Amino acid sequence: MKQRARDILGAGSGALLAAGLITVAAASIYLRTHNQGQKAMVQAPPVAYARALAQKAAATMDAPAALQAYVKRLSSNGQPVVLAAVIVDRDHPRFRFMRQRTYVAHSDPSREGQRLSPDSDGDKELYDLCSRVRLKGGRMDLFSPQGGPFSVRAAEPVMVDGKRLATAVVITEPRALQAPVPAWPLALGLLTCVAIGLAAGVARPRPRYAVIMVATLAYGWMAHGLIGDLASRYSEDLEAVGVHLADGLGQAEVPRAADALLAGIILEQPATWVVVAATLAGLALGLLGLLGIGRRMVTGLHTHRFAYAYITPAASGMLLLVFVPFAYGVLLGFFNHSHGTYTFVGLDNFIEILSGGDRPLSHPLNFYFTLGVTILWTASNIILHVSIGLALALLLKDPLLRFKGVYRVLLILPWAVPNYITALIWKGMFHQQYGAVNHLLSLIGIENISWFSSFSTAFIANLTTNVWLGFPFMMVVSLGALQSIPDDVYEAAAVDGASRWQSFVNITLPLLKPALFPAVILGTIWTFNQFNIIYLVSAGAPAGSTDILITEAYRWAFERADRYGLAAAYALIIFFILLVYTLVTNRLTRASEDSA
Amino acid sequence: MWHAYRAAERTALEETVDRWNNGARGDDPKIQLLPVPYDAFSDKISAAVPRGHGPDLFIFAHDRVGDWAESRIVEPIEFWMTEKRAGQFLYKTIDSLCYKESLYGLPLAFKSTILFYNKALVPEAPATTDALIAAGRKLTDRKAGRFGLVYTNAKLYFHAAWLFGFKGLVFDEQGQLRVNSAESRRALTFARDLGGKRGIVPPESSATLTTSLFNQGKAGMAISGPWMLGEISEDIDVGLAPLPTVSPTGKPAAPFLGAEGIMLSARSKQKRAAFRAMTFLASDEMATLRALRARQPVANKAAWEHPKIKADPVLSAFRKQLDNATVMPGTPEMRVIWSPYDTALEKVIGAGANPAAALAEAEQEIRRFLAAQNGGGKADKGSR
Repeated sequence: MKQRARDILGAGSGALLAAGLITVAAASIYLRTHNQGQKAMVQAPPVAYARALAQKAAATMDAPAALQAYVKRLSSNGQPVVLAAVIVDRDHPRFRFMRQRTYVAHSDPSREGQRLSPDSDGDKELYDLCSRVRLKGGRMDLFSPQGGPFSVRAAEPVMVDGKRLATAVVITEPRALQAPVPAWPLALGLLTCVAIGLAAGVARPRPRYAVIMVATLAYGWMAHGLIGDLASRYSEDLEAVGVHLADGLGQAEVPRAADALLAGIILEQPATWVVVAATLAGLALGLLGLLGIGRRMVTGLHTHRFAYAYITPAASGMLLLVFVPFAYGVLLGFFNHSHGTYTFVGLDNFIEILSGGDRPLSHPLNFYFTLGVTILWTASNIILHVSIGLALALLLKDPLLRFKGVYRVLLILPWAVPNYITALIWKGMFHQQYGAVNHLLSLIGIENISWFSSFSTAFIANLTTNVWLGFPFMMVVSLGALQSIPDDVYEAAAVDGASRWQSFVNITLPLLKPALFPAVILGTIWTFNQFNIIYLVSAGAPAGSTDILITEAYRWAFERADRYGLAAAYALIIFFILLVYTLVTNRLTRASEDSA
Repeated sequence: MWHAYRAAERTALEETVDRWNNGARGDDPKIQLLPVPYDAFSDKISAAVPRGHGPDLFIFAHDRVGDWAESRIVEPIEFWMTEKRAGQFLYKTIDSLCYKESLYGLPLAFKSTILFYNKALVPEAPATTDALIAAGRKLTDRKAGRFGLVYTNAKLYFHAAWLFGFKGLVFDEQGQLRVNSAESRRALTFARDLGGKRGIVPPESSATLTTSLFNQGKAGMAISGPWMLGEISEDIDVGLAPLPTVSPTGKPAAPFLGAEGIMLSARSKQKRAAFRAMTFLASDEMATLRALRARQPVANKAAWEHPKIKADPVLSAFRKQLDNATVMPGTPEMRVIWSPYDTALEKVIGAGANPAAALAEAEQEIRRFLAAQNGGGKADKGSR
């Protein structure tokens, strides 16, 4: 009995998963298409009117009476017009930001010939609308004036001989709208799929999954059709509205006039491929169910339910603080940012980075140049950290050495000071004129090195700083590991006649490896992303050539043109480089452990 | 209202706000001040306002106006302006707050770089660059670490004075990029020689080096902004003077002008009342009060008629410098100029590269950045 309940539950949740995926994809595209369609339908009348009015105004600018008659005609064309007006601009002789705006035509005849009044909030809105049209060309939006009801407005420039003389503004009441294709079949389909799944749970495994997969496929096909239907209905409706408007305005050759009136209102084709993809993914989920994973997951969740309950708080914390920002960063990598708006650009950011952004390979902003610098930086750091750390650890281990504790504390100090403070101190010490480094060098006859004006010296300055900061960690790790090597191994080697070098190579190094390997991996990742040192010591000088990938990403986001998307793509590439590095080294360590 | 003022400027602002709250406001709401750290200011505004949070009013430098106007964060206010009201401000200061023919704030104060000189070492401020170099040569002793002049020479903000003094440009009047012109190259060569082996400016100059050398008396002159006033040690008898005339062109060096303005959030729910508060805080009377209390170079013409302000040597030096200052464009395009241009300066002044090559490369890089900036604008053209 219990087995059967589990089968039913497993099959039901499998079907829910598969159909749910399709529903989410289909519903989001349905909403998008629906919103777009509604917006287009709502905007069509004011936009068409504003276009027609602007054309009329351009032709009859000198004859206000004809224009005023046309405004009246607009107002009686079926669609309730709140306001229709043509506003003329005049520049201020003294201040480039001030201009006088006057109504030449207005649906309220008493305002014709009047200036826009600074006391009216509505006039302020119209004034700013005119300014925006001046900048950007045609404009429309939904708006709700202060205290007033919801309305739709559109504005169009009045062009005479390529010059913008005035702005035509039309505000209408919105049309009452209904979705031409309802969304409830999606919900019904989801429920049906789940019901079929539950019912199929009684059957034997093979027919059970076949039934679920057929149901999923049918549902996906239905959802796909529904969205296509919605889009085509909206475009038909929009066309009808356009013809009606053009007809009302008495435009010759109505269908073509309708096209002209509605030009610019474009209904995007819905991305129905997403539904297809979701259906395929749903089928894949069904296949996974076929392999019994779905059932095993249900069983696993059930048997370990207390364990899962215990980790829920920590897991949700991780989700919120680590995975959500991470996912956001990943997503951002596919967008381009400009003035607060984000546009989806697909893989453009990655292509720009990986193709070098049409900069030559020797250019410091070329990705491969920076990558090379980063690898050189990481490798030289790690080599120096490990060799200096190990050498010092060997010295400190010498049983004859006195005041060991003092030395140890002194040597760990660089690590204990916050690294940005150390970085700033070193930067000061590398100053050409007043720095301690040049002062010391002058004592041995080397004069006046300008550390940050060539790549090699700037790189050495960075490296010196980071070696100073990095060796204590390696020293502490090696010291700990050295102390765990039993002395009798060395004694045995000495009895066998091994030299000190031989015992170092054959005993110390192999026994240090298990402790040093993880430290090197960790150190590599830290150094690879050592932002503070690069940013504070050389600051990329000269000309960004000593920048590493992480500082480069920062500069794209915050110092050059706010390219958050490109910076996110950079971060993602860094993540993948380090991921591959970790996987490879993990495998290597495991291999070396196995062989040992 | 958010602001980033500190010390005397902050108390002066608080005093003007008190006057508004206790009397001048009539039936309008009170202003509540919130100091926000300068470094985080613009990011906080860019993040908070589009989400409907943030202040009604805020005080910030004009250089973000273009960005904020494009993303509808600041409200255009010229509709409420009268000619008289606009005319009360020094023209350049109100012009700075203008973007694409709309006005986005009322100016409170302005700042630019200026020449600081140590009266003990330089008895009289040089009027031309030739005089500056001659005076500087006398003071420079590289071995002893003494220099004639110190300023952050590898940053465009400081270099701009020479650039415009040599009649160079960043953008021309049509908005076209003019980074690599003969004039710009000449200005850059001049700055390179100023900092070169036989020059009068120390290598690797930075803001901290400027302050410390000037305070130790190791540099006779410095070019910096009003923020340096508070950092000068009391032992130095400091004089301020407008930057010298560039001898080869006869045109005064023209530093970038920055204006601090009070701006109105596009999401404010009480715009009209907020505008009344703005006009009060930017009025002649309040400007005079700020200039007297905090020695702020204020933007109102009338304040400069006050005898005490007229007699103040520091303030009047800034006022004189304003006449020769260049309005820094507050456009989004300007924001991508800095980093490539600084790179070019660093290459030429720091590493001795060829000015023409460095500027050509900077121009190419700026074009790439501009293309990227406009690439994102494609979606903007559609209906919204």
